[in-house]
Amino acid sequence: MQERRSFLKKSGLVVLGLATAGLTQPGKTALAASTGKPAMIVDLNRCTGCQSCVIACKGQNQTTKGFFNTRIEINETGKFPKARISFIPRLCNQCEQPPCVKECPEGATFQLANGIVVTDWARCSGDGACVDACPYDARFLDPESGNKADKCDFCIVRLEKGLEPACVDACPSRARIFGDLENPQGEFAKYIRQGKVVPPNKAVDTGVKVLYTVPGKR
Amino acid sequence: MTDNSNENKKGSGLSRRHFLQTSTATLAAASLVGPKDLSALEPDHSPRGGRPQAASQLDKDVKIVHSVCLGCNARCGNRQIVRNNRLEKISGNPFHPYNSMGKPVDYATPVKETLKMSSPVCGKAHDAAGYVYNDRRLLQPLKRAGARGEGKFEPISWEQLITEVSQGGKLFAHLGEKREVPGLAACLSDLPIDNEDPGLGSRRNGFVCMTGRLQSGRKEFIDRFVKSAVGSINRIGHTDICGLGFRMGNYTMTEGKQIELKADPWSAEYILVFGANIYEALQPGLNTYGAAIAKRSSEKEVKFTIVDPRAQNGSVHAEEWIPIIPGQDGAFAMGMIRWMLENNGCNTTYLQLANHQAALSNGYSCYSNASHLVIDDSNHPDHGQFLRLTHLQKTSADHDQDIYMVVTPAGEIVPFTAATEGQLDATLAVTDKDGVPLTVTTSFNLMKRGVLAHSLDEYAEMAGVPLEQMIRTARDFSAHGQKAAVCQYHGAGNYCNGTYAAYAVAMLNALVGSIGMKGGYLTSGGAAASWKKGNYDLKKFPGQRKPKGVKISREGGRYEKTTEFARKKAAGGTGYPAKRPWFSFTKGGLSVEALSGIDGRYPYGCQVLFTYFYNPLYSTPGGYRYKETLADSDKVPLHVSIDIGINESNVYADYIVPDVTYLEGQYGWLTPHAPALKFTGVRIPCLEPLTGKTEDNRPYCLETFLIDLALALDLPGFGEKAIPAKDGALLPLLRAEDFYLRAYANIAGNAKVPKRADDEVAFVERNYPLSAFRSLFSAQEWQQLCYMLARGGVFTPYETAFSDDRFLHGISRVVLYNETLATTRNSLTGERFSGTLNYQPPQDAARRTITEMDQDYPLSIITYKMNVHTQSRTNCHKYAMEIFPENFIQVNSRDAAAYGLKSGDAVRLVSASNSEGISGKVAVTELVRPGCVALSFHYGHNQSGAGTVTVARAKEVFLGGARVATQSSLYGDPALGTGTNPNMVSRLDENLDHTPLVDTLAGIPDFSSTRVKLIKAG
Repeated sequence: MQERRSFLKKSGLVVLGLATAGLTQPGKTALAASTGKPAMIVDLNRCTGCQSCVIACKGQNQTTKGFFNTRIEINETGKFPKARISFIPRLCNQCEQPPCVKECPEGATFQLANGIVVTDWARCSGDGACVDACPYDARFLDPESGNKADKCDFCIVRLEKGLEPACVDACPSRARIFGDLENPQGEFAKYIRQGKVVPPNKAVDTGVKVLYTVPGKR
Repeated sequence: MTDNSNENKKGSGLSRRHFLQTSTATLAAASLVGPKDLSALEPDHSPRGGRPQAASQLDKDVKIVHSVCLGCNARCGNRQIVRNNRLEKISGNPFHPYNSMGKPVDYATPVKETLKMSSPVCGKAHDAAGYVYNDRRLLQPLKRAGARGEGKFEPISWEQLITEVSQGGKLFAHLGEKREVPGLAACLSDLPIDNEDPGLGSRRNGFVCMTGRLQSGRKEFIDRFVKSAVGSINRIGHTDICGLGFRMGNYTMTEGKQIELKADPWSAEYILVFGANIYEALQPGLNTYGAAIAKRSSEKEVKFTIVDPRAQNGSVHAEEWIPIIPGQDGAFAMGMIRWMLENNGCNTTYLQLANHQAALSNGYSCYSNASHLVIDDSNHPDHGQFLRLTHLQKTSADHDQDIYMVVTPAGEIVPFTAATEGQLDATLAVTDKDGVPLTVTTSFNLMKRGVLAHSLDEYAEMAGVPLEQMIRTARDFSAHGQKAAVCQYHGAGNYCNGTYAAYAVAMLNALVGSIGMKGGYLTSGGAAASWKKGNYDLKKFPGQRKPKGVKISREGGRYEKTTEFARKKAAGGTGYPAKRPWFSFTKGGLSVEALSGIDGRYPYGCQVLFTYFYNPLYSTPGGYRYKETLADSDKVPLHVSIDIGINESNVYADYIVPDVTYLEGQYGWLTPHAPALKFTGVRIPCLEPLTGKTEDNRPYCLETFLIDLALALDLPGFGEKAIPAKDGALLPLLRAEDFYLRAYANIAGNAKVPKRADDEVAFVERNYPLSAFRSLFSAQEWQQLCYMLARGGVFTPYETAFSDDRFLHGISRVVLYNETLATTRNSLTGERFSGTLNYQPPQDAARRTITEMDQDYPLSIITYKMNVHTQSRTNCHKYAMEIFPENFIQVNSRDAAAYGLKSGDAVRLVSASNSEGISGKVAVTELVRPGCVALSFHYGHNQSGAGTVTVARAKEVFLGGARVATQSSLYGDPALGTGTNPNMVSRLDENLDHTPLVDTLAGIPDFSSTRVKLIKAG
């Protein structure tokens, strides 16, 4: 909470400076506080492992070659002839109690009011504490940017335009379902209501906002 | 997609400012999902700092084009987002059913409203920038500057290209080649190509144009040139390597009316998948077909079982994985059929319906000939033909030839049109009009006879599947009746004798009565409207030629009509065998047999070969055999390739003509694949062409090349007076747009889309480069055209394709017994083919069973397509290569244990035809049947960017300039050549000059029968 406050203060200052430089227009920045909590549900019973989300994310976020803000974990289960392939899309879970934020000595990584965890690269020292702290292996240090910590931010730049994250937009079978935990609507609400969704790792309780359906029994 | 150099332009101050916009704006967006338009905010960055982000369709500084993808042949829509004339982002088109699991937005929705909607498209589509901005894209025409295949070229002027290709001459004298190279002019002769056999056609057939990834639009344009202007019969497609086997099953069952039918993924309850890679490939693609099945399966509306030697990605959600032995799909299907016949699993009520009207009256859209009588008497001259009214009555009219006979439930023999039902199991003796007694039986009985030739145990054993699993599948399938269907594709039947395997698989649908039923086995609904007629006649033109004779692939040709046959017969023999097989019973598109024909100069020699977007040496099983063909100037006197770069095949060409990609040109009108849907998507470029330009500012590309050749040779159908308009005027065809945009206008007019479209006109004129050609049209036409262009095509809803459960656009009849097939003879043996189901294992041309022949090679090799790749041409897709940098030789853990292998080990695979073999890395898996090794086939390139090529002034000739080239060379990138290409070890047929193995009935190339030895490296 402290980080967030300081962030807002700081950015407020920046805005004033930029506004006088004529780079922002009055009114555009005066947006009301939100009660929303963006979140994602991943339905493993729909994911075909097609990689469209991964490629759309790469194209959108231009992460350094070899590094991914989202990826699909591919596993084999069972022995022949009962063997199957399985897919688990992975990304930053935008934790409510983010271990990465706690461990960042510079306060470079913090939560926005809507719960999305972001990193201010101007403050990031690249020491990797946040990467080590993440129980989901969702962060990496970007070697092309002086080892700044990178990860998924739900495509904030798209959200602010009223668009869904690139991976959600790209998912052919609608296995990634985006919504607002505080005001769930439509299909997203149905999943929440039915209580079919679980965190990616029940052993770690970090208040994740990426939830998974349990694969159905065959 | 944004150039990395942009990154540095963004200062940290600016990005910090963006923090605020981001955080505050996100607050609003988080309460989202309302359509609040925040696009007024300038293009933004995430708080990650200075990293660039792709533009979105809501940004003010972008252009948006709704078009059709060509990442593969699936034909999904796409939305191309361009900033500063650079492609920045791709997404789906919300109007297009292929981007919405078949259920798009209403066609009348204002375009602007759709911009905020999410619309998916697969990873191949998203990777388009790697394709269009491929550093090794060719910008200038090249001419060979060394021996064939040596990889030495020089750029030449467009004018020189046109002159030399049209006129020929001693074109390579400076390389020491004394021969006179024939130009296209040498093919413009009506003299016979073979003086002894005029039936083969004229010398025009010496011009052979082979097309790889060709779609409607360019297909019609190329046909206009090859067939209608030059007059050659040899525009040869590549249906064979695309997947002829399963198509032949459908072709046989529908009497050639349709070749593609699939389970309806939107309403089926049970789908049995035979060799169709539903989550990784297929057409409609994973984006549509696989996605629809996944979503409905998650909601428990459909279940599916996969029959495939590999637990493809679909195994994640499948009811069962049935790891069949490669090449044994027919055994499994026939085992299922036998169980269904013996356990009331067939819909006999349906099968008894004797004609189309009877089917319609009973709620079906299609009937079968199960009850029709066949002459089953080997002494009768018409043995194997249907019993017709003309056999029984002396005074029959001509049309009585088409009247088949059935036995009514009361036992009366009547015309099929006179009965609602016919008996299925009737066998009886009749007397024909001349008083000759003969035995007849039903199609159903003949089918049954074929099926009962083997026991359930035998079928299960041949398929390598436990008997209980085969029975369980048959029970499940038949229990779902009209809501059960098969989805068969490439794997089902793409091998020698594959017609019979795929026919059995297709027959499953007929036996449960699901053909043409909602939730059943459906064809495509076809085009939304015709392209060729309307205000412009794009099919006919003054001076049009009609090609004659026989294709060099011998598809559609009858051996018995040749001089060769007559000569052999006159010499005292039967006339058989032909030198190479002939294929009168095939859908065709026989690229492999065309190349083998060129190789053997049979039935005649090729003079000029054009290859378009085609890499047969890489993409054909056993394609390596054709290196010697393409290297031989006696077999291929002139070879011109049209492509976007240098690949494994056109490195052998004499000339390479640069082409545009589907984001710069390659206009087309794209109709749906099976099943169910009815639409026409239109492909619309979003970028100015990147290739060089002619003096009059036309891009170097396929169309400019063919038009200029036509002008140089004074061919009809091109030039100032080429396209007849409705008012009688002849309009010019001098550039691509003259043809394609008029086809679009025909489509919009014929589809009767709204004629008033002010918003759409504004959208198109703001965003689409093709609006530069609006002067081709009247203001009224332009309005109507823009209505369609703004939406990327004309689309109709799924529901309108049905009346209740009956599909309205399907076929009216399927056959359990195919008379044409039954009366066709094998051109190598003279024997008749079976006209109904008949178990046949994959065999070579001498009818030797390959598994028995190649017993020293213990493993079968199977191949597959990956979800992020398309055939040979996606190693330039940078994200695909980032996710999967190489491929592996996938080996089951049991085999790995036997060979002492672990993942990562280097091995070599050798076959009876390639003792040198191929090398690669092992991946140990449970997902492949023991006894099989599986490889994807997109890797293992030695050209297509992987190989270094000597090209004068290379720096100016390739898109990447100094990044990839010097003044003398284009450098290969080893990262583009990783992995292994399984086609390089495929079996050849020693009975036929060691050319690639093909099926002697339909010309199906063999993808599944190659057997290999695995040798652990060092």
